Amino acid sequence: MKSNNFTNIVNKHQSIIYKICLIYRDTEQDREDLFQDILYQLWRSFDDFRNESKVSTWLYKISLNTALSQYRRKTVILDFKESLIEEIQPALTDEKESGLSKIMALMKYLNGVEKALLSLYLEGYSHKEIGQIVGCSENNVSVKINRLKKKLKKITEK
Amino acid sequence: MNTLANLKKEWNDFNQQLKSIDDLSPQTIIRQHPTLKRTRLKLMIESTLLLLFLVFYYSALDGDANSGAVNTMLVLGVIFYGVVNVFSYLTLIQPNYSDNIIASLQRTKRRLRTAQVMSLIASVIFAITFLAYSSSAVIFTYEKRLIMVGMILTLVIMSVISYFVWNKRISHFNALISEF
Repeated sequence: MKSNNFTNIVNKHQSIIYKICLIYRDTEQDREDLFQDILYQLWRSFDDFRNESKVSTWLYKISLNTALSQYRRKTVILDFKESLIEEIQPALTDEKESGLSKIMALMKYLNGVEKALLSLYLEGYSHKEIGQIVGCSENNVSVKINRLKKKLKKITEK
Repeated sequence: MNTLANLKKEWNDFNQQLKSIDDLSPQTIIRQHPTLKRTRLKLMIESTLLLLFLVFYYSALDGDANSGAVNTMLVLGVIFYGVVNVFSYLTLIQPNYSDNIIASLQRTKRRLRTAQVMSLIASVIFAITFLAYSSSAVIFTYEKRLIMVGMILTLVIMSVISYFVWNKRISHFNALISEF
């Protein structure tokens, strides 16, 4: 019964988990590993989930925490050189690109915390809700989101 | 900002169903967990080696030449090392969630810190008991003293490396918490 409920909920919202895996991992194998790790953490926390919050909020909270918590070797840090911006530009402007390609191109420039904030913002959560999910004040979220917007603007408009 | 509106649309339009219910069900089982599978294997290998050491050390390392107290100390040191290994594994398989993301990260950091301290204490106790055992029935010559110093240095270096490996993990959480 519990297992069926859980599987149905996850099945219905699995795109959220998949999006988190896509933005936090570069290879298919790593994404698959993270997907399983998130599923395991969701299953272990399922008893404490009592529909007090939205399913999507619970999923985001656990998924982002799992993605951030895994200690990994640092990947190459990209800086804002014009050549890199030019390389990324076609992916940002090409209307024919489908799926999450534009977001994926931008994510390469963001750190783990910025990715978490951006994903919650793109999902449509208010600053107050993001603050509750993350565990910081609404003001703090507003400041960070504004900085993030400026950073994204810098990348896309340069 | 049009780009942001486009990104929002792209994010919310993405609604792929990649796995069937049949695919999802087995992934909640701990045996299937990719990271924990590796950790469990490491734990099993280490536990087997410690068990073999306990079974064979007495005959292989002249246990009868040492006093009962030194033998007991060594056995207890090895058992404590094994218990800490199991404790570290249990720390890793515990779900790491709390009311919000920052609280979860802080909780995991505290657990790692405890595991780090326990691991260090276990290494030091194991090193002391092993050295006490090795040196209690030995008549020291210059060469044997050199070997003993080498063993002490190796154990110290291994403990320091282990400490820094744990520290690296903990720093990852410190960095995340301060970025938020």
